[in-house]
Amino acid sequence: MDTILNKLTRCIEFGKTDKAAAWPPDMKDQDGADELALRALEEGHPPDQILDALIAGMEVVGRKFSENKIFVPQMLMSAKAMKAAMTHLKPAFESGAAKRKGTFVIGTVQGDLHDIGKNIVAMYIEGSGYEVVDLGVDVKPEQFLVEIDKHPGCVVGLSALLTTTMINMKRTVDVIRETHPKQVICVGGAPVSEKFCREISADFYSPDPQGAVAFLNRLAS
Amino acid sequence: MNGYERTLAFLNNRAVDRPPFHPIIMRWAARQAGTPYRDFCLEPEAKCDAMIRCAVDFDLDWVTVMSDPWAEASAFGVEVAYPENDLPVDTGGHLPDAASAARLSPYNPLENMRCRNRLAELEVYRKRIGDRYFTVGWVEGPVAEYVDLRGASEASMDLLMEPENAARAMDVITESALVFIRLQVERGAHCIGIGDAFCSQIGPDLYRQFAFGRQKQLVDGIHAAGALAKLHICGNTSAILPEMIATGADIIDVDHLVPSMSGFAGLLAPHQVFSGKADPVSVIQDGSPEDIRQTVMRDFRDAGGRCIVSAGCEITPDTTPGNMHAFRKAVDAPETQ
Ligand code: B12
Repeated sequence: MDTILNKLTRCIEFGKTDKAAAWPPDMKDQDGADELALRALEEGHPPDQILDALIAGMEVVGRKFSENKIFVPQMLMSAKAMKAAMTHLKPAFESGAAKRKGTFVIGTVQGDLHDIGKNIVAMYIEGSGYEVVDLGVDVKPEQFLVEIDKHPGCVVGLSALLTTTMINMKRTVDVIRETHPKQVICVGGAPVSEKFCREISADFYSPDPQGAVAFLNRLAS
Repeated sequence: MNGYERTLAFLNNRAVDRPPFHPIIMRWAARQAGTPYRDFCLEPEAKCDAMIRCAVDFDLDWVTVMSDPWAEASAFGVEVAYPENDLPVDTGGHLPDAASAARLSPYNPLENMRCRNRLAELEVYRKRIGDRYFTVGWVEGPVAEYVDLRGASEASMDLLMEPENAARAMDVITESALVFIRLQVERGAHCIGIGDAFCSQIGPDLYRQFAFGRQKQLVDGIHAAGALAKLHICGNTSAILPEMIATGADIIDVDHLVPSMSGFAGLLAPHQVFSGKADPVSVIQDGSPEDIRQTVMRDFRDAGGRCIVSAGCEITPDTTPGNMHAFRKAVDAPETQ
């Protein structure tokens, strides 16, 4: 049955942000994630249920991305659709009417300006029910400390795309661990590997966002 | 044989003493020469000096004008900062939306410092090394330049949401690049590289829609100006390699993320070769000399012998001189002859 929640899932899958959006062409003039999320709330669907619909969409997106069926542009459109829907859900999460599974603080390490991968991971994790604090690119270790103090129990995610900034990833881990020895940190980015993750004593490496979500879900359960 | 003769002979299927060796060096070259990266990017003499020293010390067959992607972007109005010893950073002046991208006007390379520097670099090369090394100029490809002007995420979404506006901007980018190409060839470039790395991220459909035709226009322009063309797209390009070859570029760069060149070698025209494809990190930076030798041999075999030896992309700054020598030596392996 084509319920409003199914439609919402499809909007995430195909990156339909709102009614006016030109993408995708075959959903022209149809309601997008923005309108549908708002209507679902108005119709009384609990925010958690709406979030599940979004997650279902994200799962398909992640799978298609891994299988090279969609690429960065389509992935970013799905991220945008996700954001549009989340804007309506945010008040419910903030009031406590619905629960987030935890907080994820992510940033691209100092000296590194690559942010597409980080953005994709951030939106995937947000779409999986976590609050995401995105510190952007070229993030100094001290900026992570500030957010860790603001969000006790959060998980930190570091992204690096350059071999020359991987060293700053290590420095960030070191600086965090000086004052927060038990802080959970996961790392990723094209040149990063499982081996490097162990070398710098980070807790988890994943080559893709799905792995990071699975890790967070294990921690949260 | 010198680097220029070796490269030309190899491209023309004539006998060579060994395959050409064309590793992409930028930050590595600056570091080897002890040149602050700002000087490397902004002072033609400093860049050429570092490149020539590396070419001599490590027996490379080529020199290039590469350092960072911001030359054309600065000519289009992007503001760029040059930290003393770090990579340049774009700090503002980007196109705010696709509609303004559609109104982009062509630039005159002679009126921009970075573009004039590139021309000056080619003149330094002509004066100092003449035809001893294969000298390569550079332009950003249509998609890469659009990404530099709009920001990667915005540019990506424009391709889907505002295709006409993005296409209009890319036409202007291509038109300007064609002018810049002619000026570089006049200054003595034997070859012009087209850097369009972001194409590996957009999938084959958008590549065909936005990049292929314009890259082909650039290749034709390079040929018409009397130089050879090289097409550089790093990342996994397996899905678009047939089209990359069909642009007619003489040298097609292949990155290590392409599992093998073997399925594609048959598509090369007689004048075309691959250049690639060792992993700059796990093999050239972190591997042993034996790993490097094995990788070079395997790739060369997979390419049916039609492969200039290089890494899939830039040599990382932390690669040791020892590994670079090992990389060069791998080219002498009997299997590559
Ligand atoms: C786009 C791009 C740029 C854009 C960046 C725009 C932006 N806003 O991000 C610009 C033009 C600015 C740029 C500049 C440079 N770049 Co660049 N760039 C690329 C390119 C083409 C694509 C990167 C990308 O977005 N990939 C797509 C995303 C989705 O993949 P990803 O980032 O790997 O992320 C995925 C996973 O790794 C993982 N992940 C990522 N982060 C995290 C974090 C966590 C916690 C987890 C769990 C997972 C995870 O999930 C993501 C989704 O699956 C690559 C080459 C290529 N074709 O791959 C080069 C590349 C990354 N760049 C490179 C270089 C060298 C540079 C420059 C130094 C060039 C120069 N000389 O000026 C500068 C550096 C600027 C700086 N200070 O950072 C090199 C890096 C080499 C190296 N290993 O050191 C590459 C690999 C090209 C190459 N082969 O040489 N670049």
